[in-house]
Amino acid sequence: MRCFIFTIILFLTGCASVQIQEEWAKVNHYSVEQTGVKIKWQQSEEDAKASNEEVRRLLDSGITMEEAVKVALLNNQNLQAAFEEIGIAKADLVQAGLFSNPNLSALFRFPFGAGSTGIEASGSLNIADFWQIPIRKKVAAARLESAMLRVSEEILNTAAEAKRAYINYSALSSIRDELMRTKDHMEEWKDHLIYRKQFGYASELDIYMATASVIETELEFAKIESELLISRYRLNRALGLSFEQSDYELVGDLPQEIIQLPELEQLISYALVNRPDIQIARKHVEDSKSALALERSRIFSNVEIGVGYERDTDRDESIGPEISLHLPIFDQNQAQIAKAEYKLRQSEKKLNAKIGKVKEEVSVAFERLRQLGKKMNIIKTQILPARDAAIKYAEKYFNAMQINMLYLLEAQQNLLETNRDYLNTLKEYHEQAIELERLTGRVVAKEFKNQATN
Amino acid sequence: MRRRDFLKNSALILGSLAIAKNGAAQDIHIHKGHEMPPMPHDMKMHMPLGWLDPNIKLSTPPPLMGKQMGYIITPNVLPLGYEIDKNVKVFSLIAQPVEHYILDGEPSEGSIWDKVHKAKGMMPGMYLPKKIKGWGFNGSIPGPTIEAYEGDRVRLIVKNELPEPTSIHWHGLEVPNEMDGAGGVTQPPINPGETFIYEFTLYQNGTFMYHSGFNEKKQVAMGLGGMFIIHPKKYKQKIDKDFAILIQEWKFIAGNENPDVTSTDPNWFTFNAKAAPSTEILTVNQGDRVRIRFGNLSNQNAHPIHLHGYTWNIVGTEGGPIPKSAQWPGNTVDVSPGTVRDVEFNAWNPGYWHFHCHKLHHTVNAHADMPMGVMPMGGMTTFLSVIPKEKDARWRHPREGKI
Repeated sequence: MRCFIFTIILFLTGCASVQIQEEWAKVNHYSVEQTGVKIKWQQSEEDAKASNEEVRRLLDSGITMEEAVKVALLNNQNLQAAFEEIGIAKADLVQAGLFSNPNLSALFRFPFGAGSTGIEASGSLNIADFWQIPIRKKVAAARLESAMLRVSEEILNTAAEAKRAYINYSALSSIRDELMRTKDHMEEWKDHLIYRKQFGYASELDIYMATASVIETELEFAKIESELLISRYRLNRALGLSFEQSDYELVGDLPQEIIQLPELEQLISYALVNRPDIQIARKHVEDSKSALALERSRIFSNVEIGVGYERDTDRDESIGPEISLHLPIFDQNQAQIAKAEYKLRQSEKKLNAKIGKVKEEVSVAFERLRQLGKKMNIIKTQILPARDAAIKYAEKYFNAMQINMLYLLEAQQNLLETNRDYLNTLKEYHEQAIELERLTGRVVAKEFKNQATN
Repeated sequence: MRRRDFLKNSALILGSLAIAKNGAAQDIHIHKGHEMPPMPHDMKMHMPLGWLDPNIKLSTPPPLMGKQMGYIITPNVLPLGYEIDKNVKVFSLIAQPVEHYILDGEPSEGSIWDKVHKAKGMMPGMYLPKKIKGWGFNGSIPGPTIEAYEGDRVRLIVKNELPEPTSIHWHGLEVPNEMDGAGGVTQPPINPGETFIYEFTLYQNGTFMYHSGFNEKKQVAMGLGGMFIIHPKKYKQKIDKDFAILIQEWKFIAGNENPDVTSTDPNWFTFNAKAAPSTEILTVNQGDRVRIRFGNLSNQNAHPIHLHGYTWNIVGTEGGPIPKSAQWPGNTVDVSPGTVRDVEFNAWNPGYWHFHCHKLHHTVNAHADMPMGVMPMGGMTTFLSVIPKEKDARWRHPREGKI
């Protein structure tokens, strides 16, 4: 009998510790799948030190975009804060599975006259836990799932932010270099006009206009230098570094290939199944259903049974069963049930709204990316070759003295402007690709075949 | 022009057929790619074809091209032979699109041009070969030189392979009105693909020209002209070397092979459609009696042609020989558009003699408004090369006594 009681107690109190290995493994798997990076949860000073060493090692050799994502996922403090959500939600789940502690009460009565001390004692247990705990656990489990999805979303956002900041800085660096060439070019143009003036080919007006153009280019150059500094601050923040840190370099050029996009419908299907916020919204519906069930189970929210013992002052003893419950006469929990029903309907409507929004967001991002890809391709395959051909023509006939240097300089200037346009488009293209990744919940360049609805 | 060079040019004509076909296909492609606003109907009707009509098959030059049947030397240009039909000399001219180099490229190593340019430290780079898409006769720009004798009956069969109507005007010849070749005035224009036969008797002698007589501003600027020499039945004085030079000027945008025929600002200047250093050197022997005949088919400019080291006599105009008493000496002869000037002199002074238009802008090839160093010789420039009778002989002026 004693053994049985002990087992019951153990069963009721068992699994009480908060273990998060399983949940962490799932989140980590998601990160590897979507970003290619295994995440690390810094839970101790040693963990933090190991992560810092790895970050330092990556930074020292210069970082590619993939390595920037790795640094961000290792180092970003917002993400680390998000990881704690898993522990919090898991603790709530453990709590939801615990029985209420039994109630023990005793009353001692001391007679003013003769007689012995009277004793009343009772022990009771809330048996409502038997039908409420499974429902509570279901609600808490759904919330844990939601927390894991929020962390997954945060991983995607962190990776996307790191990529965006990386691309922004990298593209701005290239644009700055191109603008530097333009600046030098404009100065050469101005000097050439001054030179031409000696031969009667240029006027003061030409030189004034060239001077103004040089100053405008210098101004544009100063602006891009400033934008580059700001971009560095943003990159540092995205990577979890101190804002002024500049002891690392970005290596490698931005990829120039056009991403082979899957069909739009495929992307939308994938997003609707896999995007964390959609999954969160779905969990929210499930959560609301469980919450409704919980509220319905709370008509008798407190039913206690137990044993009562009494010894009166005449030393007469009695013992007997005891039951205590709130009679649902006035409050049958109908208000909370109605509230839960409203919340369920609300969550269902929010899910539908979210689905519509996802479709629109993915479609817009897809179209923008497609358009930018088209523009990039036209610049690369048609405009730049035409600009190059113009330069070759200008060089050929300038060398033959059949056209003057201004034509050559103009052709070079046009090429520089097209190069800048190309770099800007390349930057926008990659930013849009990252946005589409974020909106679909995965790297769009990955093979989508037969995976969209898996 | 050597016959071999001529055949090379002829091959260009044949090659141009294929080019034209491709070019036409490309044009269609371009129009497909660029949506253009609709053009008014009237304007469409008047959109002329360009250099060549791909639907007109170009003939190979007649077999008598390059047959030297007279003794005129037309540097860089072939003469035109003739057939005899009873008492008539029959010449064949085909007006057709021609691809032609007015500048062949860098002068050959060791040539006089090369030596001069190196000695003067000329700016490099101006030797870029200049190909043009012009109009000529029998695959040649200018057309072949026609030679005949005073009193000859000549028949000139002219076929039009140009993309537009034409006619040939016999410049300076006294012919019946219907043979004058003023298209639309004295005859219907010769439509593309059609042939017209001119026939007349030559009552004059001297230096004449032939050129398009229809839509002249364009067609002459495209190169459609040549020299027509009528020898007297007997010359009073023997001429050892008799040269003919047709003066033309052109406007080209850099890199464009098609002449801008509307421009009044020519930038390429040629002797027999060659710009220096591709102009042939006039080579004579010391003591030769030399005649040079100039005809100017420029649209715009008169060209004062100057020879160093000599005094010549102006002995003829587009009206024929000048009587001896009326001839005048000089070393620069101004040849206005449409005129002819013949000069004669004894080649007593040996050496290379600079021979050029004295509008000095015409002695360099097309160049932009750019800081100028020492420019290489170009345009209307060549040399008279007088080969001395005796090597290392002391230079003597004729007034010092007969050489």
